[in-house]
Amino acid sequence: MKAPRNAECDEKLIHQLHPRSPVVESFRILRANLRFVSVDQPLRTLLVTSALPMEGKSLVAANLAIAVAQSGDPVVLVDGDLRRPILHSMFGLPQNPGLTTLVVRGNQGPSLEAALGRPLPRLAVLPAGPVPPNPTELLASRSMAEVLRRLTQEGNLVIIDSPPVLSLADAAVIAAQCDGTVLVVQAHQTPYPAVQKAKEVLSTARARILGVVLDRVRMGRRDYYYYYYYHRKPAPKT
Amino acid sequence: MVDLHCHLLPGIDDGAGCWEESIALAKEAASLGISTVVVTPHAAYAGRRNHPQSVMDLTAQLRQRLQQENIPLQVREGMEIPSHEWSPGCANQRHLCLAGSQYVCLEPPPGHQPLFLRGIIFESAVLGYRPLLVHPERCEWVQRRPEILGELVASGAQLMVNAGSLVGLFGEKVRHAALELVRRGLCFAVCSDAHSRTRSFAPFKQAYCLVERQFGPAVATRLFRDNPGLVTGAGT
Repeated sequence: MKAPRNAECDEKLIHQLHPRSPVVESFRILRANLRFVSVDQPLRTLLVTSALPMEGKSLVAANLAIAVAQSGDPVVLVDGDLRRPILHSMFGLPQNPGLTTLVVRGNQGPSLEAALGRPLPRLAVLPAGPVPPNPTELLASRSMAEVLRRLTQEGNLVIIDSPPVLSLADAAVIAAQCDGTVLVVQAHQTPYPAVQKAKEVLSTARARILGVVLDRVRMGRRDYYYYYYYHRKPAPKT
Repeated sequence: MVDLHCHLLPGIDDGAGCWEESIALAKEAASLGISTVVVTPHAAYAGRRNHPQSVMDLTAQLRQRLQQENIPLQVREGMEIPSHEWSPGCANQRHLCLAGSQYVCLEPPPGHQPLFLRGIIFESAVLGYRPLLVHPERCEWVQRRPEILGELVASGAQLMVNAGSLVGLFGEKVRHAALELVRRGLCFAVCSDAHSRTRSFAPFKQAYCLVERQFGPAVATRLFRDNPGLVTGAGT
């Protein structure tokens, strides 16, 4: 019998895998790389996005967050995909209250602590909350910036999952508020022009693209260490 | 079993017409194995608004009468609110939630999906309410595109299907839509929507047997007892 989508996602979360499995290792490498890409400006908020839907953004964001938490740093994982939120079901958390609740209600609503789930030590997850009719406006609001600011006090790094860059403005709107952005690209799958267009859109939004996570690389027996590549692109011209 | 939606209070809407009818219906409910009902008169009927206090008073009277008659049925107060009338900001002055909980029973408009509906649901959910959309399967826009309801659920709605719809009282289209909602796991609870002797609690029991047969006893228990129990238990 085919497992439901959530259960499939669950199994791919790296804290459930063997600590020396190549997948886990690749996320540790990604974590370590991120520590060095941003020398001048400390990396406190990171957007994980992709050009197209279904490229593995949420899984990469979740696993990166787990890897950071396991290394000893408190981290906050935020579901900024207000179209099809999925992080809550990956971690078995309620969807509401969440990001939209905090953004709409500000100080009047539930506390930050009430909205955060804590599935693992040092890992706090902020689910999306109820899906709003106007996601882009909420993400661009002053209140959203305030929520982000409060979240950075909860962890050394805030990792935000988002909808794809192309066809929606959401990712660009979040990227503009983050210290850095990584683009998840599916090996042999994502068309080159789509990636290029996504980079353009993000650059126009003044996003700082740190690099690309190459996902679903076909791996041979000998090169399993490079299951996930992390490739640094030249810094965007400003 | 727990029923979250019926028009058992006499004389304030198109439900029971008099006390005798109310008592007869309550007796029937108890005999079918229903332990608790939430009475949900229309928030407004025939141009007259039902005030929360008058609904509370009438519920208390019904409770007293059932006690006198020795009918083992718990009665909690509620309202069926037209979705365009509901405003989460002034909830308490105008409307009643179900059994003192944060759940509100909202009736969607039948013809077209209104633009405001998603906004109202989102706003309610963010403010901590739990909007329960009643009998969406009877709306034409749902029958045409049941997947719309997935969006409303993501925005914070929970869906309640009429027992009568499941057993075919409202025609084949409605029955099909109702079954589809249960099949997709979008249905939170089944309710009787009992009004009168002619639209009584009987389909509730029939629907229970049907769901049990088609989807298994676990689903039936969830939709007829556990989930509605969450609502009435939350208020005590």
